[in-house]
Amino acid sequence: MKIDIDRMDFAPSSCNAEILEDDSVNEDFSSYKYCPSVTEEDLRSEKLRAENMKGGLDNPMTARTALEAQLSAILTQNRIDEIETKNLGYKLNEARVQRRVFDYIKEYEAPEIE
Amino acid sequence: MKTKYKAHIISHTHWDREWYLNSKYTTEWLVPFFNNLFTMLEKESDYIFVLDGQMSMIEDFFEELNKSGVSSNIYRQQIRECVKQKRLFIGPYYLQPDWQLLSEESLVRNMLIGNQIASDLGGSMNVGWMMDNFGQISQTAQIHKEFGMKGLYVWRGVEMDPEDVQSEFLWESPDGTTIPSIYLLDSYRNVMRLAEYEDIMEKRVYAEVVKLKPFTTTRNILLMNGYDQEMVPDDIQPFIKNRQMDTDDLTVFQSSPERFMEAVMEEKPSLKTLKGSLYSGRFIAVFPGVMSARMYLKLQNDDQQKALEKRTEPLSTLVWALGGEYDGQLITEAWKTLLKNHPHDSICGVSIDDVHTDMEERTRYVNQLSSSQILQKLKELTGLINTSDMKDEEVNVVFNTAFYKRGEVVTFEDETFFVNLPPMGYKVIEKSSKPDSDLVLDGYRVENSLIILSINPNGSFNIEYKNSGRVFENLGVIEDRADTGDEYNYSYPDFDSTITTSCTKAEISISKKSSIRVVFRIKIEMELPESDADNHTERSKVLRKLPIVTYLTLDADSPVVKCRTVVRNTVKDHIMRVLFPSDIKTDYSYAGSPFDITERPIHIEDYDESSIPEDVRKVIVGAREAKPNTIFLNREFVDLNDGAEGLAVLSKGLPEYQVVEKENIIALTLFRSVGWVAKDINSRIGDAGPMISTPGAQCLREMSFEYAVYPHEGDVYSGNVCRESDIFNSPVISLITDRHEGVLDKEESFFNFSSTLNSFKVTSCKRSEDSRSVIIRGFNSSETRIDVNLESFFRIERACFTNLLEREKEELTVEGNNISFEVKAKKLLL
Repeated sequence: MKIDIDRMDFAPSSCNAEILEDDSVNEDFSSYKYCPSVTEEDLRSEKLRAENMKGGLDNPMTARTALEAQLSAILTQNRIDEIETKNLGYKLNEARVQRRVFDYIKEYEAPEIE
Repeated sequence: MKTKYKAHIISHTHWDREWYLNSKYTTEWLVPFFNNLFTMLEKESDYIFVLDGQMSMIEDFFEELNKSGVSSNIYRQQIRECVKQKRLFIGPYYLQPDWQLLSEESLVRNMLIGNQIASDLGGSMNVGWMMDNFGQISQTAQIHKEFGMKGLYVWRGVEMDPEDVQSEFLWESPDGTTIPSIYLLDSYRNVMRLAEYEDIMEKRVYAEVVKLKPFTTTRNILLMNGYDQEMVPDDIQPFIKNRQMDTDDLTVFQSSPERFMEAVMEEKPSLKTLKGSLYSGRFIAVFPGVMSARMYLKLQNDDQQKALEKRTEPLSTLVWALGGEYDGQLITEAWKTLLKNHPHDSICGVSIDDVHTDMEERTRYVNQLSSSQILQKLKELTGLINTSDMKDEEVNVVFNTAFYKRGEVVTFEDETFFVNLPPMGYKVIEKSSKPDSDLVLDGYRVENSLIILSINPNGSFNIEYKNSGRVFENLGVIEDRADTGDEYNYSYPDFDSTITTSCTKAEISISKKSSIRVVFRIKIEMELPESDADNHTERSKVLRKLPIVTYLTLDADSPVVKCRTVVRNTVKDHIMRVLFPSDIKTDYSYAGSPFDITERPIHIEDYDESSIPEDVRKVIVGAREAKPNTIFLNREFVDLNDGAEGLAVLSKGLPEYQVVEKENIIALTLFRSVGWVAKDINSRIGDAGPMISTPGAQCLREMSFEYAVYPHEGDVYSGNVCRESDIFNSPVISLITDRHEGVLDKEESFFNFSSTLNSFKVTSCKRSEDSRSVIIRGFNSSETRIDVNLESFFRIERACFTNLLEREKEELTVEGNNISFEVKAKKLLL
């Protein structure tokens, strides 16, 4: 339905207003560990599947599944790399902080470290 | 003389923008694709091609050109010319959406934006093009008719008597609108790549004609010359021009969707009528598992649809009507971004992980746009309210963007208020109003004027509906089973073990307590198999704890018990549902769907495979579901009733339900965890997509689900189930402002609809596309004609019905600031 209204000319101007978020509480589930999303074993299995199907690449009836397996192996590798990047990045950040703090505490805490 | 059969070859490409690759790769392909297409159109002056019914292909192509610093002007001109010459068919959609999982307005916007872009490039095709979406909604005919479509092409979901299959039919919406429809019974690719195998091209064409002849209602036969992401248009003209492939009783030529439709209808065939939703996987799979694959995407999408439809646009419209700005460009940008998540391979959750990561990124962007607009428009509206005489520095205001007057409990700084809110308006809250009765709390039992809610030691709950005295027991039990399916279909392992919370000991506490609101917190730990095992044949013996916390809220005077369940999904390969035993004696369920309430039988007879004749078997070539579907769509609610009373489960963005025949249990799916795009599974015949690992589809994350239980009198219509679900899905907005001068009173309703039967639902309130008027869209959910009155705060100069392109149809009588009109049963109000 299309309604032609007589627009008003109140020219709204902004005021102070704060929207209240819903008051639901965030649960602390940190003690519940996830099972691994993707493992080295998954990667090995996908690489093996891709390898085993390579022979079908020239056959129009099997090339599609062979390529799917190759793509799946790459994406699984990417996922593992992502997890590894995340873990390594976190460790690297901590190591950088430790290295810097040692400039200040080395003489008290571990003067023997070179 | 006997008229010849006419083989219409339609050349096309079906473009999955994202599926086994994300769009950053596939859009690159559009440059060579369009170059190939233009080369073909230049080489063959009679060549005709269909661009998959979706305008995003062209938009993405222009974007790719832009990235390379190439002007798109010459291509625009070329496209416009070919469209006008009826050699290139574009539109009517922006993208190929899934039709089940989206809101009413998302579907409308998809076609509206698609049509606008197509108009700039010469005009949209005048038929619907539903090549591959996974099942059809009941109002498809009415929606397409209101976009000026003359017909439809459709594949998945159609079922006919195997002894009487026809490749054309009339599709009827619940309001009686019909549209001629072409059933692609042997898919959209039956003569793909003809010219590439030119030696056998003729044989293939003739063989396909022979296969399809038994099913055609006219002497026109449809041959579909294309497939997914076809990069090179098939060079068929050299083999068919000058009628060189014709025989004594067959003429073969390149055609178009419009021409084929016209040719069929010119013969005035006697067509059978199929009514309502089409959701059979008997001849071609509809993949019901897509309704629960990657549920987090459905929830995020639901949030953003509502942010745009129920907040951004209505609030912007009010500000505009009061004299302010309407940021149409930003709103369109938000819509277009959200619509990019709506293709069937995207919102259905059936792609690789990277695709769905992109989708989450898009949703976040839409959220940024909508959140900033909502806050801005609320500030502008609130700035007009006179709060100067309030006694406190901080002033509490509640906005209600639903078109219903409602009583709500709201919280400001730990203080709860009961407020009666005007429809599509606001109220400054000074003190709590008095509900009909306060809550009475006794241990883990609480009652209001309508309901008694009590919590069981296992965390399930009972609801007594006071009007009838009926008690619904053991609601909210969680059920967990193995899912050895894939993103497309749930599947069962050879040996399953179902685990429920029936025998668990729940941790129950009272989280909030006042005379108008009580919230129970229920914590359960499930010990679940870590994954499937032994080559997907059973569940693992290794168990892992999975926490579930449910908050149950009962408010004063509220007819519903609201539930919010939060889980950390720690395990893989399973499906989790929440169960609501109704014990209501009925043979039908009633569920919300876009622009409708759909009735479905609860008991569904098994297929008799042997009844499919050989000629039909030859043409049903794709994957199929081995058993009839019993899992269905619910948009915002599912209801079981016996006419006198009923039990409805309302939900926010949880589209999948099943009714378990024993005790007529409503099972609402919370999520499924699977690890593959597609693979061999027990519940499907044939493949659905690529066998690619998708650890992201295991949904190892925290998720929050909202649903509600609504016992009621009467049936789904007289029980106002649609209205209660709409209210549940339209939360109010509470905000704090300061004291300031203003021109508006402390309470105002801007638009107030009243209708007989309370069955009128508004699905959109926005500024019109021509920027001159207010558009309100909705539908009559009931099976009877209703009278509707709209009262407006603004002076109405003129009002009219439109079609979905917002073109005027029928002028309405305006009396003061009121418009009264009738809406026929199941009719869209446009």
